[in-house]
Amino acid sequence: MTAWLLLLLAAAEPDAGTEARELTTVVTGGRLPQQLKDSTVAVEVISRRQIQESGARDVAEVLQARPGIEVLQNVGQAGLRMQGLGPEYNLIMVDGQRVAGRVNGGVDLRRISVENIEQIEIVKGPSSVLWGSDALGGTVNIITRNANKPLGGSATASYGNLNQVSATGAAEASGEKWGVVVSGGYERRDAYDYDRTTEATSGSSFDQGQGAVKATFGGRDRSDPKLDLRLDYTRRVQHGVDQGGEGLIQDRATRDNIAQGRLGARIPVGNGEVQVAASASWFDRRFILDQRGSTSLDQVEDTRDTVAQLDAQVSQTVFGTHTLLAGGQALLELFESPRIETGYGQRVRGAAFVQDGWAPQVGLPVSITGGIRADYDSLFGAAATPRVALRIDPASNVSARFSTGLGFRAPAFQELYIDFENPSVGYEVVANPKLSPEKSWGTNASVQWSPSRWLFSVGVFFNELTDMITITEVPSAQERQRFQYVNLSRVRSWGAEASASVTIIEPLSLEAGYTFTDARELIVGVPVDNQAMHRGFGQARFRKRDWGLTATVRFAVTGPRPFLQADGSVQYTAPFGILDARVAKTLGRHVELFVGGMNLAAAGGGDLPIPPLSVFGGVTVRD
Amino acid sequence: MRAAWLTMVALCACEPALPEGWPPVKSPLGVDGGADAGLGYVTVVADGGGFRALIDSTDVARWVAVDLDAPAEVPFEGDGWDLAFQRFHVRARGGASGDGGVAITFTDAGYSPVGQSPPGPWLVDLADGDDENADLDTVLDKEAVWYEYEPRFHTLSPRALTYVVRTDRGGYVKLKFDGYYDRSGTPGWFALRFAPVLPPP
Repeated sequence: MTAWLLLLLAAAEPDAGTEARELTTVVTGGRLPQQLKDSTVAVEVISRRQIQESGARDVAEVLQARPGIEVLQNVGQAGLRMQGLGPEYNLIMVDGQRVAGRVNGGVDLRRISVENIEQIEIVKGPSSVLWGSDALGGTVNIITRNANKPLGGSATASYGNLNQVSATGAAEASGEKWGVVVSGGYERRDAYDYDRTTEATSGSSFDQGQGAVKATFGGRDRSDPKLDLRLDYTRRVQHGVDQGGEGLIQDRATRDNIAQGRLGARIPVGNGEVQVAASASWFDRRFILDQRGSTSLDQVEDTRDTVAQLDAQVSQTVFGTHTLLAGGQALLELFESPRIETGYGQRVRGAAFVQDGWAPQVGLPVSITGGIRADYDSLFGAAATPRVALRIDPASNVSARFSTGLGFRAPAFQELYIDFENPSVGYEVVANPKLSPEKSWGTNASVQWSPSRWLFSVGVFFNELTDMITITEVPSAQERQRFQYVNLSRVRSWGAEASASVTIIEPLSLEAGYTFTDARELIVGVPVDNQAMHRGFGQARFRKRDWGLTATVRFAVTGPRPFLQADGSVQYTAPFGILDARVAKTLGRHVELFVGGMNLAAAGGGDLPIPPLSVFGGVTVRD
Repeated sequence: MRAAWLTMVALCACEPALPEGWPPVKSPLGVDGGADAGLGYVTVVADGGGFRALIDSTDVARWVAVDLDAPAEVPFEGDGWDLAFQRFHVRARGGASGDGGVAITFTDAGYSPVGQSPPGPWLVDLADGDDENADLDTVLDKEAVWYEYEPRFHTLSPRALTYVVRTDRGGYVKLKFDGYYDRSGTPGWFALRFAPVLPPP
């Protein structure tokens, strides 16, 4: 077996897939379109094909087996952790527009389905210099599809256990100067429960429908002005059961309406371009708790978050070696919730940023990017976030990258203005409108080496998060304990990542990686809750076109996770592994049948409420 | 086409049902044959040689007062009460809580064996001390707190103590907290047992 593998490795030759990857256009690292091979900042790309072959149905499933990325699942949502920093410290965008509806700090990745995604770009480390608040641990930018056929369409339907139904479709049309993609889908799944001795569910059921339209005009090449319009709407309803102490059982439901729209234009000017965009998002959540046997603890809460944003930027190449970028952003956010003091809040934020990308002629391919962004928010004041990035290619197949910069996270309305009390046991949480933004300093260094069909990557990272917002008890003049959010905590995370991938022979490629993360809360001196120190992942893909067969197996192993106990001790959970697989067979030109399974190692239960083992099968029809 | 149809179905999906009876209307405890003839927040029933009481203290703004000698619910604003309840807080009408001279002592000897009051020490409610809140430092909230806090579910459960209350009329009544929740898990429903006992030796 080993000899066979070595023989295959020795026969490895340059891979067309690697070249295609290097030619992929990305925007997230520099806020300008550029080829991946030219990016000063390290950008990871998950292509549409990789998404389809993984069998993933939403972004949480796409990202759960990636190096350096953790998807944190809990009862209500799936958030993202990168470089030891949790969901509230990672920015999720669609086409450069913030995803609306952060709940408990994070965006629920399960509500972003994959049918209209062209690629997902990931930048690790601070990117507030370009994207503003929340880009501390990393930035995920989901790029939606443009039409690239005169007329085409696809539809996929699948069914799995837990009555998991997915029916999605997309249609596209394009002419010489225009293109339209319309997509939509419906997905549902029953609730699941790891502990049958209680009434509580471990994971909620959901019903979700979504629809999107994206239209582009012009922009067939970089010299052609481009106008694009995107509208999308998602409606998601979840049901679950909570069980408290003393016989308390509550049926829980949430209904989310999320709508986003973006109108953007790109106009070539001189040796560069001007981009302007107007976008708006609306998040409307109704949260219901229905106590069984009584109405005393029933709750109905309506929360609405509306964000309108204007972006403008201009870029120019000067002296042949400098790419200058300057821009600004204006943001208006309106927030309504019964949990904040006045029931209503608003903020205005303005920002300006400049960046210079310099490719000096020094013999070696070298590029240096430096930039700074200044934000002014009506609620917390100013925040400045510089970043410097360097890339050196000492050989044609070796790239070394380094970046260091600051990031910030604006205090959320809930933290600034919360007004919540639990009189049954006598505590309240009160507003602190004097909160400052959380700040981080992050540094990343990595080397990528791509000999023949191999791709090796190693990197290290360091982040220090200061003025972290945490909840603490404060003196009270009322007849109950009083808690308040304050800028108190500090977290330091550092670690290393290594990955390797190879296309052994034409149909088979392998990828494996490992991430070490040490994240500690510095005030108390304990590990960050739920942050595993060790994490590994792997993926094998077999694709034989003349057989019409594609098979993908991927796994992620997460080491013991620490949890701080009430007595101050730290307990570690057992490690767990996620195993997903999918096999697809095409029949003719238009039909593909597939079967797959998620979480095939049956991880979950206890403090790990991830969806249980599921198998599914379905069909895709394309034209 | 099918996907589009299903999408339409999903987009038209009904809103999750509101809880039955929403918005809730607070109604006082119904008097179901108990001995109480007060304001409707306390039910007292005879139980052997003593009594059982169910007290609705769910209202965050209302003190529900009980005269242990009667026994019955009485107005908090009057001067006939011995104990008063608001959510999980309990006052005894002595010391900083009033001029009734009500005082409390306690024992871990169990409820049934107690037929005579312990000799003391007799504790009374105190003014707010040097702590992080502005509450009265009542006997049952602080010095001989009636509950244990369970942080996982934020619930309170009664301690295994029997209290003896020296009432405003000079009687002695043993008292035990049996619960703080109704059968649906709603907090603020005190279940008590109490019975007269002999004065201390």
